[in-house]
Amino acid sequence: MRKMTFIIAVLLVLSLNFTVMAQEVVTVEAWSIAADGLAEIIPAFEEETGIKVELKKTENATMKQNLLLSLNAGTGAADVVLMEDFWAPRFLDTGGFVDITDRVEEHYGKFLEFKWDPIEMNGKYYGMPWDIGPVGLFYRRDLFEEAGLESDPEAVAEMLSTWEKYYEVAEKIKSETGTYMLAYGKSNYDNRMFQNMLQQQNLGYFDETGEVLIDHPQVIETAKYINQLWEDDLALDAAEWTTGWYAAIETGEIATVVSGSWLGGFLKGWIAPEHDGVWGVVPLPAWEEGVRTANNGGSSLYITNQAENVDNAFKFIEYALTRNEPQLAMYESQDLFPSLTSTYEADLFEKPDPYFGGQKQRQTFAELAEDITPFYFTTDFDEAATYVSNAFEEIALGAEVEEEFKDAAEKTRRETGRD
Amino acid sequence: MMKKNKSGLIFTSPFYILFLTFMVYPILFSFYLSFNKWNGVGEMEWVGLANYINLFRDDLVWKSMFNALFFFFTYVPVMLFLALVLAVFLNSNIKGRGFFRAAVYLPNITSLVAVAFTFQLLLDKNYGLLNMFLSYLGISSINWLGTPLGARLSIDMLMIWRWLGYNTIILLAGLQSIPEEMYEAAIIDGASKVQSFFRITVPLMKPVLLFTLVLSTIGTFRMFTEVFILTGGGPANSTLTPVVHLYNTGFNWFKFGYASSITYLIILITLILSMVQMKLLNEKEVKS
Repeated sequence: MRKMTFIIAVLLVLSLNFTVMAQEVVTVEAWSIAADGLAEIIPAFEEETGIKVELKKTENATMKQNLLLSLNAGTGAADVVLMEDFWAPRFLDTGGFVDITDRVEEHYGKFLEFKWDPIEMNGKYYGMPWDIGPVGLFYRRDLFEEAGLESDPEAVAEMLSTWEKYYEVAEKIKSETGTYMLAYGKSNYDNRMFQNMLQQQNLGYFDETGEVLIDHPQVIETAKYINQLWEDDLALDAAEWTTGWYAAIETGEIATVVSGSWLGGFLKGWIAPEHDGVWGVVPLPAWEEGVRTANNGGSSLYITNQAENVDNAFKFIEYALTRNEPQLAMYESQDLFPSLTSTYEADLFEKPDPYFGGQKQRQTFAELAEDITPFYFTTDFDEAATYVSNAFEEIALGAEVEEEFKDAAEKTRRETGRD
Repeated sequence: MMKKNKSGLIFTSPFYILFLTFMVYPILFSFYLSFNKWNGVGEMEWVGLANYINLFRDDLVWKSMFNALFFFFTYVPVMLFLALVLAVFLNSNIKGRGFFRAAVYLPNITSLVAVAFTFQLLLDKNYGLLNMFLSYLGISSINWLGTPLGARLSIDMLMIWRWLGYNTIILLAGLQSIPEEMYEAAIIDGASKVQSFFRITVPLMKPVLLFTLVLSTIGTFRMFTEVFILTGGGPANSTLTPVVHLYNTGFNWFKFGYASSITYLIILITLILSMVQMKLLNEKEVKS
């Protein structure tokens, strides 16, 4: 009996000890694949530092709302939060985040430079870069062959080296096989592909100083290119992430898809798992000026000003994002493409991918990643993007490209108070 | 007497406390907000009437109001007529009356998000079930969600599907308060079923119809989830409703002050429309 009491006493003391240790807790909030990725690397971090991590997985849409509410209330936000690049500036503008400029300084050169833009505000840095989506052109080898074209990546990259050549191939594929070259939604679409095409040319909806670029002559020219694809019936009217789009990919109604590197994971995983060896990846066709890639998607980790222990929160961010092993582990399992350039040397990038007919697709994207130029989101990106989408929808219904884009630019300037 | 009041007040206080916190306070706060510029977290900036002045030059506000009126004039008359017919049907002595009464209400308690996604699948231009049925009838595929008229009609269909049962139940309750003797007297006078529907049922149902009409007006101007998921307000803003525009302005663009001024515009318009409806229907009653 006495022995029993002793054991219980020891257990009690031990458990007390645990609670004391467990006070070193960092809370982290992230969405879908990012949360799944972090969950895999947390055990190793806890073991190394003795700091406990509480991870909360939230839906993307709810996450923004919850974050806004908890910043507003001054309580309830996690210490470390994930924010997507395109909406991060709006949230930084609310002032709810910790300035970690001094801490990230030593890591600055380790990441792709364009990735820092949404993290920085008025010369101060509030987060650490994580994943990107280098944009390439996914194409159907079989459909190219059917049209009597070469289908290996080197030849296709050469064949589609400019958007002008892309247009000629599109016409050829349409006349030979009756297949559309691509899908470009006439409605319900956020025009990511258009944004990628602008980023290639060092353009966007805003320039570096925040001035509106929507009525820039080259922006209008790019929009005219898309409209031409519609008018010549080379682009199928199906917006990304709709039933029609999935079906178009699965049944081979379209020969190419412009998308971020992560599309590969989606194709393999659930859009077209049976398309083994059918797809290939090449760099985007180029415009007269600019590079053959852009960026689509991606997030970074930030520390909120509600964090009790900023040191510990930063330790976690530093562990997860600035070291090769965790970054590579999360890339391999969740397709979160690192912006940490030292990872590109890893063996993983050398591996041929059977789904892509043995092509070293990761290598292709790693090479492209280094070329990505910035895309300036600003606090008003969402509003500007809405006006541009409206313009495209009007154009699809027959309106004049130039007029619609001038209107959209005018409206953006007026409603956001910009030049 | 005093003591009696006190305990009464204490017992009813939960309602007043909840009502003050969750209804009165937000209403007053958003009124105050509508005179400010605010990103949701930081400092507010007093801008006076600037938000209200901006309403006049924001074409999306007026487009969304026009869309709401379009929906109102297209789906509400159809829905209320069908609801009245259904209610009469459910009020008669048919077999399985209980089942039909429950079934007709079912769409209203189904998760709206799931419903809107299902409609999206049904209405898909190339792969939707609706276009497949139409093709059997020799009608070529209609781009429901991709053209302005198609998208508006899609919203109409969804609204009718969802709210028909709700209105039927309200009208059914009204029908049950019409005394049976009236119909008996009409039969004796040699009136047909259709005649007694238009001469007895419709006039006596006027107050209940008015009630459903006012509810539908408010419902139309508050329409959000249906549009938000099914069309996102597109194409080319043809289905943008005032509340979807308000949501974008506030929660996506972080212009909470301006969003509040849109709220007050919606309230004002709904109020005017409801008053006009009540006036019109009451006048007719006096004349007849």
